[in-house]
Amino acid sequence: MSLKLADHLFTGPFAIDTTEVRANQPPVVYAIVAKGGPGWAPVFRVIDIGASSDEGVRFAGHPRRDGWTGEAGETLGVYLLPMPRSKFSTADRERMAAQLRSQYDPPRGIVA
Amino acid sequence: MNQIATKIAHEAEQYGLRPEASEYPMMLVLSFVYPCNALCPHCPYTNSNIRKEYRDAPYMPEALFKKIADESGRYGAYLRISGGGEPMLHPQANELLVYAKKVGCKVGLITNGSLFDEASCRALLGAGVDMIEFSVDACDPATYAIVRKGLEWDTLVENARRMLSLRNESRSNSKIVASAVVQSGVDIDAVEKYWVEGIGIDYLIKRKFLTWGVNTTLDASRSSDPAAYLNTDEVPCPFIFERLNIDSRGNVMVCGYDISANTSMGNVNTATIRDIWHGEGFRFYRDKHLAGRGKDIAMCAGCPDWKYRSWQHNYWKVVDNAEAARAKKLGRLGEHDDFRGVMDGGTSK
Repeated sequence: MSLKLADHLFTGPFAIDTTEVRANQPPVVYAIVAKGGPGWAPVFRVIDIGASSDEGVRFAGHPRRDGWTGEAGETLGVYLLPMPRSKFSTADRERMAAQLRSQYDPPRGIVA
Repeated sequence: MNQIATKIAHEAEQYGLRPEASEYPMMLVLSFVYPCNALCPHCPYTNSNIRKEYRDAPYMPEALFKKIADESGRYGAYLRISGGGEPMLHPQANELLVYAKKVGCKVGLITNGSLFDEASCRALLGAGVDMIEFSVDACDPATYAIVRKGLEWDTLVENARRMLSLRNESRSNSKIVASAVVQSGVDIDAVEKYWVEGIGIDYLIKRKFLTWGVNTTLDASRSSDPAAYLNTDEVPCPFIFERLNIDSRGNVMVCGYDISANTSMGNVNTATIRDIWHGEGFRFYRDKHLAGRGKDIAMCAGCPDWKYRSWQHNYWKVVDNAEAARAKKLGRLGEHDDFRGVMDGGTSK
């Protein structure tokens, strides 16, 4: 479904171990999010935020993959914000990821 | 304009489950369809990823709809046929709405009005669909082309006139109303005048411009009347005390704000609606709101639309007002009239 982080609408959640953004797809800013709490009142917690490189990103093989763990009862997923090359540079994506990281302070950032 | 000529009441004397919802929700808002033939700029689905997320379940399946209708009919509950797209795009729209009426539901259809033909009008009116709401948002072709992008003004007017004419001719109980979002570029009083006095609909619903917060990219600056109805620090949200929302997968969401279905109060495929309505999830929300702590819940804290909900100026008021107008036009008393029994026992029929 959708998850809005600082006015940016991310799409997800996608499974971390099977999701890949390939080089021929629009690059993304991504958020690794843990969903916890009861189904009727879920709580979303930002675990990590980053930007894909021009070569893409395969989340299963991500250098920080081992650090993406949820607490008991949480499920993890990746949310994507496509940032097409025609409009955004690598620096733009990295800047946005850095801004979101500073705002949500992963791995404890609760999304309200 | 004299939009707030008289003060409209929004709060209630006391809060809690509405008496009519003590057993079962008064209203079930169904995401009956996700595809749409329009791209309205104020629509949360045009401004989100949700339609894409429901590509595997674009239409509410017949079996699920009938399960909802069968249970709801026993309580005479209102099915609001709405959702992420145009309901009349559902391949079985007429058949299912007629079914819901047959099993005892009240039915309110929200439609852009572009897809009616004479047969569908007659089917819905003949079944006694309680309220048919045309989302119009404009009173001239130029504005309509902007706020109802992709639709034809002439088709809308023709279809609304035909629906009204057939309703009046058949003396159907169906109320025919229209709605318009109070947004920049739309003269809401002119819209009301055109549709009520000009076309002859029973009532015009003026809707606040909503953004649906985390679900969409909509920007509140398009609203031309952002004044709040409720003080959310003090007044509970009315929706959790009267209605629930169900998507095309049977998932029950806590309210109409959660159009992304982040909440799951239960699933109609595996539980009764009555049990879900009285389940732990809804109790949690109601207890928090009644204790003045609704904002402890992350989703409610982030909901920009709670303040635009009202305990009194709401759908039930529209039903009453539209029914009074319909009854007056048709020159007889209506279902909500105190004297109906007298008339039925006397000269009517």
